[in-house]
Amino acid sequence: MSEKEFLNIVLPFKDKLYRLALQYLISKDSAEDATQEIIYKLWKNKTKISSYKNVEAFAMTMTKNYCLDQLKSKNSNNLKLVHSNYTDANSSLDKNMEVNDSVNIIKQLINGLPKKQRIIIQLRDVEQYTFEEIGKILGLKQTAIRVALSRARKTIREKITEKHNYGIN
Amino acid sequence: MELINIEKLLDKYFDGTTSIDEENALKEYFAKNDIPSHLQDYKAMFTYFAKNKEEVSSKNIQVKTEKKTWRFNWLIASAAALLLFVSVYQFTPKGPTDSEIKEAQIAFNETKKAFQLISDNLNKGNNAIAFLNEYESTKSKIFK
Repeated sequence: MSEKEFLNIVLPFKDKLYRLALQYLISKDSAEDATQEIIYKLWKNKTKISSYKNVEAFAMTMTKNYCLDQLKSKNSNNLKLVHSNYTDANSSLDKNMEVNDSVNIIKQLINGLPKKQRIIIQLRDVEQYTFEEIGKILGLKQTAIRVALSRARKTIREKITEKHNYGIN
Repeated sequence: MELINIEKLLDKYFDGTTSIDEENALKEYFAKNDIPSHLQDYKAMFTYFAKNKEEVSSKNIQVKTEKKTWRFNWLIASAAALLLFVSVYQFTPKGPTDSEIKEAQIAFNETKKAFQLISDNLNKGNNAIAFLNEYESTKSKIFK
């Protein structure tokens, strides 16, 4: 397989890998590194790629596992530092617009969710994977995904109305 | 889409039972501007999902190049090997040169001469002691 053929397969879902890694690792730099690493691993195993039924789901699973490893390893100590830098830079970036403000609040709400729910929201509501695909990626049963998703969505709804009623920002 | 339908869909959405198509319909609906005030809160949520999808990796993907860490390791390995080779070469004892052999021979001869001199003088002393011993034995014969 040539580099061009490989990239034709991989590039369409590259950003999905990145956004998933971002949900796990929070820091943009770490997420970039994770994406690069996963694609590099895929490239090394490129002879096997054609035998995978769903390369994208496989790559997403790899990303998930890689990120969990990263979080477990000692590197996770550094991530917290990067995390605080990251939120600061971001909130100042689009602070001015009211819509962006409320979108940022949603972002913070979602970041406050348990990790599993956060990832499922990302995979379903952002990337629009089916329950079957999410089940493959995360190694979970579809019913479990549905329950977690519903719980996550309801938590967001509750938090929004709370904020709305008390005017807390 | 009608408002009642949207509200029904929202209920289904929060139960996690909407299909991808239905969720897309919701996203489309909330992308508009004329949202009733009681649904306004959800607009930010669906806007977030759309905006999150705009977040893209800015790094270019490279697959052809080797990983940096590996290249670095090879560099270290080859440098270490070179260092080992050079130091082994530098510190191995070499055979003595001709001039060194000559010098050593001269020194050896000089030392030999010096020892000869010492030994001659020592023998002179020994003879004198032998004479003294003779005197001692004669003296003990006389004074018993």
